[in-house]
Order: sequence, then structure tokens, then C-alpha cells
Amino acid sequence: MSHQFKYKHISPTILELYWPASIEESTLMEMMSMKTQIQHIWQEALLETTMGYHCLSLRFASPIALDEVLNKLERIAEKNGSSSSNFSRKQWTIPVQYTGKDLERVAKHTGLAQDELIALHQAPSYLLYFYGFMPGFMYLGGLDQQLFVPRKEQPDPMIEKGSVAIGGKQTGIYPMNSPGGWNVIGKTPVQLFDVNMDPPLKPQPGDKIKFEAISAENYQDIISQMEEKNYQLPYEKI
Amino acid sequence: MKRSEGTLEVIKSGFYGSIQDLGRFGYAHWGIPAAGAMDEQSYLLANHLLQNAPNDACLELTLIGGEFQFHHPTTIVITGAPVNIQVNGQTYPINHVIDIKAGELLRLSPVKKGCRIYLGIYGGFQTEEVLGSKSWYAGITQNTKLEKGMSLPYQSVPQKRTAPHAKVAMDDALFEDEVLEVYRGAEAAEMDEQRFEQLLAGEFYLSAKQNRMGIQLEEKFENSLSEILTAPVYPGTVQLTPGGKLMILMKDAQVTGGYPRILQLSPQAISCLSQKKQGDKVRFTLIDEW
Repeated sequence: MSHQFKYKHISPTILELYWPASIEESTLMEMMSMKTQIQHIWQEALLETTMGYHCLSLRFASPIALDEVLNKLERIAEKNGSSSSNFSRKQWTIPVQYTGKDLERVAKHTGLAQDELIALHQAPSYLLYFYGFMPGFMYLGGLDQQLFVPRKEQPDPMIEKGSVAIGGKQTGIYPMNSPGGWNVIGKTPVQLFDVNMDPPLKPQPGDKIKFEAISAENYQDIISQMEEKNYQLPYEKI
Repeated sequence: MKRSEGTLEVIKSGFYGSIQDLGRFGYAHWGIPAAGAMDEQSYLLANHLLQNAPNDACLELTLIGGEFQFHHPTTIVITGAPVNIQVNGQTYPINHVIDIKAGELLRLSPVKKGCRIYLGIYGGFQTEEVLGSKSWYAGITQNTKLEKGMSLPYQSVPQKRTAPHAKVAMDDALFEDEVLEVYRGAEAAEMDEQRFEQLLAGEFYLSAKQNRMGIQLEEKFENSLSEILTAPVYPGTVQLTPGGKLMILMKDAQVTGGYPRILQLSPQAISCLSQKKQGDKVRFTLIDEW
């Protein structure tokens, strides 16, 4: 780790480790490397390891001896600082039909033409920081500033599964039907989260996400392929 | 002992019911909430009285019991919020192991105090297990809410108990205590010390905005903390919203949040709060040395 080790001992079973409070790819990579080693050391003693943008949380099954845990963490952190992470990372391409009901709203707010904003949304390679909010909801970094659009004051009672949306400085995909206040610009035919898949989610934190515009015909094709269990979400190694 | 499949049929579903065990762990990194019994203490008591394993699935019922028909013999226990318990017209006390014959009807009244009732059954309900847990959660399990006409499977066993069981002393603290034990939350240190003292001195009432995800308190608590970079949250995390509302996350809570986390309830306090309902009063007391 490239900074002084910071932690908060929240309760007898919860310990949170902190990185500087900003949204950085380097922080994510350090956190993931720490997480892997922590899981390796404590295994079943850990109920959960969860991440935010700059916080890695460790929930233990029973109360911890803080000094002992911190000593081990210090040693992991020292090693971590001297070795570069060697994750196998992937870039996934998610097909999107850009016909969302709020396209016009987003165009109006940003002053962009619809095809311009669709191009801007596809341009970046978004970094998947972590999942939260609901099962399978990706926290993605890298939205173009020109696409920052406030959330709706009145959330929609139902946003359909697969909807691709923009809310504030973020973009994301609703993995299941849900109420929501984001502006829907498109929809993916791909079922990204499915408890019957192993694993239920393919993209993992640290991976990148690209959006790719598809036609209505492509959309239907992918739906049919998925029904025949014949569709693989495309990816390349990065 | 001979075992075969038994079924419980839901005749009246009450207000809100679901199958719960200790919860779903190890999947928060995919955004999957832990879920699990809200009042873990009463839930564990049900399994303990039945000599079940601690993680055996029980039925959790909120505020209104309901009516249930058992199509096969089994043994059950009702724990948690006190209710009138009738099996084919005969009355039983709470926390009492009851032998059930095939076809018998269990009637549970609305709660007399408290909020959540647990129906434990010999060997636990044999409902669908997903990602290591039987706890119902939308998008994870097929069923999410108890409905009239549902059939819940269990292992049927002939009744085996004849000796009357000693009545277990009720843990009245769960229903009577207003005090919730808390730890300092991750952002507590950023609060003005005086404001934090006011938080601990304050009395708060449960609002109508509450479910298994969280319980919002009625009072407004002036907030000078800014939103945080999205960070992990847990059952029992108390968030302070920009509008000055205190939101206590419960078992179905999302796994990350962006509001300052000012307190963290102890597991015991989560059980206690799970037995509170709209209009009930709570206070916080700090566990400062541990």
C-alpha cells in the first residue's frame, strides 16, 4: 500500500480499512489485492468482505482480537506495496439498444443531439468498482462529464430489468425490475445477473465495461440466443 | 425415525410473512443482501426449543399471525411477539413445543405486543435454498412473500413428545426495552461532539416507513454531515439522510450506501428493534469500551 494504513473498528466483528477518499483505479486495484490475501488468510472466519470506493470492510463471524488482526494486515499491506497486482482482468462488451424513454430528456438537459450522446456513452471503457444498491447493480466509473444529468425528482415506480440509465455522475444497468430515479437511455437484452448461473455475474470488480449500440434486430437475435442458452457475453482480456 | 414430506398450507397469510434462516453470507460483493431473521434471538429460540440446527428455516410473521393447516404430523413452536395460539381450538402458550397431527389447523392472533412472530418446525422448513440460504429475497428466491394457498414443505415425523415441557421464561427485554445498544458509526467522528451527545440523549419514535430493509425514525435530526463516497453498510447501520432523517438498516438492507453512517446497532439491539412497531419509542446507548 502506498499510504499509511487506516482503519475503523466499527464493532467487535466489523473492521473497515480505508484508502484516500477519491475514486481511483489504483485504489481499487490495491483494495482487490488486499481482499484476495485477506480472504486467503482468514477464510471461514470472515462472513463478508465488501468494498466501497475507498473502503474495504471485513465482517468476521465472531469478535476479533484487534491487535492480532492489525498485525497480520500490516504485513499483508507491506507485501502488497512492493508487488504489483496480477489479476486477470477482462473487458466486457454489453450490447445496448439505445431507445430509452428518457433519451429526449437527457438530450435536452445536455444540449446534445441524441446520436451525439449515444456516441459519448459508448466511448469510454468503464471501470467496474463494485456491486451494490441491489443484487448485480454495477458501480461504474468513467461517465463523460457532458452526460451528467440529475436524477429525477419523482422516481419512476418501475424501471425494467436491463435498462441502461444515467443518474447524476453515474451510469449503470438495472439488473432487475425496480423503482428508480435515473434517466433511461437504452436497454440491454443480456441477463447480467442470474442466480442460476455460476457465477451469477460474469463481470467482476476490476473488469471494464464497454457499451455497444445494437439494432432492434440484433436485440431480438440475442434474446433468442439467450433462450437457447447459446449466448456468451463477449469479452477480451486486458 | 420415519420421515416423509409434509406440507403446511397457508389458509390466511397475515400481514407480511417470509421464510428466514440466519441469512445469506459471502455474496455481499455481488450486491446480495444478507437477509435472515429480523429478531435473530427469537428465531434461534424456536430452533433451540425444537432441538433443530441453528440455521433451520422458520416462518417469520409480522404483526398478524394467520392460519395454517398442517397436512402431516410434525412438531412446532411459536416464539417472538406474544400472540394467541390455537391448534384445532386448543390454546397453547408461546415458546411451547406443540405436537401437530395430520390435518390440524393453527390459528395465530395479531400480536399482543412486539412485532414479529416465529413459527419454527421440526427440522426446519424444506423450502428452496439459494446461495446457501433459504431466506426469501426478491430476485434471489422464487418466493418473496407469504401468500394464501402456498404450500411449504417440511419433514414429517410422528409426534414424539409426551412429557409436558417447562415453560421458557420470556425475554421481556426484547419487547419492553426502549434502549438500543450502539457502537460509534464510521462517520460518527466527523459529527460535532455536542451533536453526537444529543443523538444519545434523544428519544425517537418509529415512523410508518419501515420494512425488512430499514426503519426510519420520525424525528428530524439536524444534519451537517455531507454525503460520503459509497461505502459498505450492514444490518444495524444507522444512516443520517441529507433531510435529517435517521434510517436504521435492517436485515434486507442493501450492501453499500452513500449516507453518513453515524451508529451501528449491536446484534442484540437489532433483535430488540425488530420487535418494535410504528409509534414505539427508542433511545440509543453507547457501548464505548469493548
